Amino acid sequence: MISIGLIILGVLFAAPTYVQINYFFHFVIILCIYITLSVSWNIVGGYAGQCNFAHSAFFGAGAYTTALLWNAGLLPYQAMIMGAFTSALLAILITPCFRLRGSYFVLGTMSLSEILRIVMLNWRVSGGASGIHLPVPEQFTITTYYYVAVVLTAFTVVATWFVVKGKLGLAFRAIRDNEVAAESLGVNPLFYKVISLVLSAFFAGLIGGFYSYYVLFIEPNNAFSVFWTAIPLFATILGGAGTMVGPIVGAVIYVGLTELTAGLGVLSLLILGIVLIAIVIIAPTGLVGLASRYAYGRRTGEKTVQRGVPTFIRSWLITYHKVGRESMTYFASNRKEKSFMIGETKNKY
Amino acid sequence: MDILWQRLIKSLLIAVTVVVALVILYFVALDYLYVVLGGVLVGGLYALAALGLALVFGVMKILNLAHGSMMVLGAYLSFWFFTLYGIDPFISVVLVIPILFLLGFAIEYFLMDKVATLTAHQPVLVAFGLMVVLESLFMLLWTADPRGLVLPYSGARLTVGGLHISLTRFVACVLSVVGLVCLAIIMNRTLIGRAIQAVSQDFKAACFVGINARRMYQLAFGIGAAFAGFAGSLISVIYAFEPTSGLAFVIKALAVIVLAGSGRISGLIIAGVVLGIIESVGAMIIGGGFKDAISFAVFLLVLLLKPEGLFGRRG
Repeated sequence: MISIGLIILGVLFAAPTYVQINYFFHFVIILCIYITLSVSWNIVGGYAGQCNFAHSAFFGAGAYTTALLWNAGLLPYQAMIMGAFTSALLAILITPCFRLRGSYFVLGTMSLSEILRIVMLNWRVSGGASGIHLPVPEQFTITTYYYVAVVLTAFTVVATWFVVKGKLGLAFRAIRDNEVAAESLGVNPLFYKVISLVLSAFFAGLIGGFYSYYVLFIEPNNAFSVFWTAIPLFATILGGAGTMVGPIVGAVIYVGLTELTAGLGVLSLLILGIVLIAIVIIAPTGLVGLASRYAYGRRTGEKTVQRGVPTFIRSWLITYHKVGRESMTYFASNRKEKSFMIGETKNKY
Repeated sequence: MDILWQRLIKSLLIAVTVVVALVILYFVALDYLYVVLGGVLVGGLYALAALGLALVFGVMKILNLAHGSMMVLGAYLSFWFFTLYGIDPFISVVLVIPILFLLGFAIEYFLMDKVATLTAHQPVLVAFGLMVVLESLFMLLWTADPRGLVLPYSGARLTVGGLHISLTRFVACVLSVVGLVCLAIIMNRTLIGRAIQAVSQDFKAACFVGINARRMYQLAFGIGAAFAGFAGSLISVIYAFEPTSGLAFVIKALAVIVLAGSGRISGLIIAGVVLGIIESVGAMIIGGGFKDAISFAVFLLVLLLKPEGLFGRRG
């Protein structure tokens, strides 16, 4: 996996000398923005298991800080780093949200980012609803942007990799799988949740700052749009939450899908929503989960059918293709008694 | 019997305090009285909007993010009935409710049923996807322009003792209170309502006494959607709406639920009125641009500081 990543990185670095199409640069830059956002969302949403809907707030905070500081006369990279740190600070400030669990956490973070958006819309200092225009930098060409985007994305992915493979990642997963058990073993849930959120916010703010350089104009409805949360979430769920490759694959598929369906307008949004629902129902572990299940089936010669697959397809598979009756999406075996589990599983918040 | 008397006296006391406060406002600051009255009238609608969501959340423990979009759908349907066939929105409610009920029933039957037993995130994600699908459908069918209904009697006023009250707002408030009472009767007096309550209290036990619990889920979701449509078509008369206003609606409804704390319908009405008043007075004090932010802030603050709500018990 690492070697494939290195090869892709090498190809991306060598590409500008051979390909000089503006569309290619633009495509890769957009792709990098979404990959960074998805990978950083995955730290808190996939590994720590907190479905965070304030990602757009971190993105927007990074974008706004960078734009304001750049207008104030700081160097680009200084402004960008300051933007990332502002986002991290914001993540520390919203720590009280971790008192909420499950769906309430989703709503709490979502309303926080909406509050920020409305405040920015009405606040004079940051330009209000008319936004901020940035001066066009003459020394930057699209190749510069391209290299910066690739480097930022590589940095994010590598840093996330080290975080997730280390002790921190273990603590995150322990909290996700069973918070009470993790606490009983000496893992402080609040501390590690905040750490995961701060890391996630730092990378989101970094790429937010880059976005404001690239677009050169930001306004609240764009920078704090729900889509900066929704798309990383979609990409992560599609690829597989809690895996390293999942968000990257998901982001590539998302950007590819939107580029292919760009002519359809609103219809592309419709397709996106339908795909999200289908993935959550049919393959809750994402494409990576599906692939590993397939590999497991190949290795052991065992055929299983995913739960959540519509009953008529399921019965057809079981009858005519001799597929096993029990799925193994979740390794916990007590989920077999489907209807009797609801009372216990749902009362946790 | 004693408890009933206590409750009666309590609500009478509250009513007397409110009336006294309103009379004082009438003589001291008439402007504020209008603002407060506006809040009260909108509050009834908020309570109705919160009702369907509270039902689904209470019974299925699923947070239906698409509730706001279902409200917008109700609004668009009554907009359609009015512009295409000239049916008055207050009458087309009768058509909107069954349509939304069937839609909600189908959504539970085909989608939510599959994820209801999985982890807590999945139903929310399905609901989120549903919200995206509904919003894009609205944009396809009715474009992204903000819409509003202008009725022949939109400007009409009721005049009571020198006070002017907008007729449409008043009728909408009365209708929503009627809707709330209807649901209270359905839930407490009919067999289906009691079965739904039983399922919400204990899924296993309800199964053992022979209740088809899955069907009750579907019915509850359908009723929730129907009430979303009801609230939506009332809202279409008062506010302008657009495809993406669903999120603001759902957050307002949630703010009401969190404020109320308990699932009791009287609590919902009071919380709705309180939120309406906070919102309109707040908008007057710090500026109309922040109006939506106020309900978000109320929601967040109550959740963080007093999670049991105004009327709930700590448990």
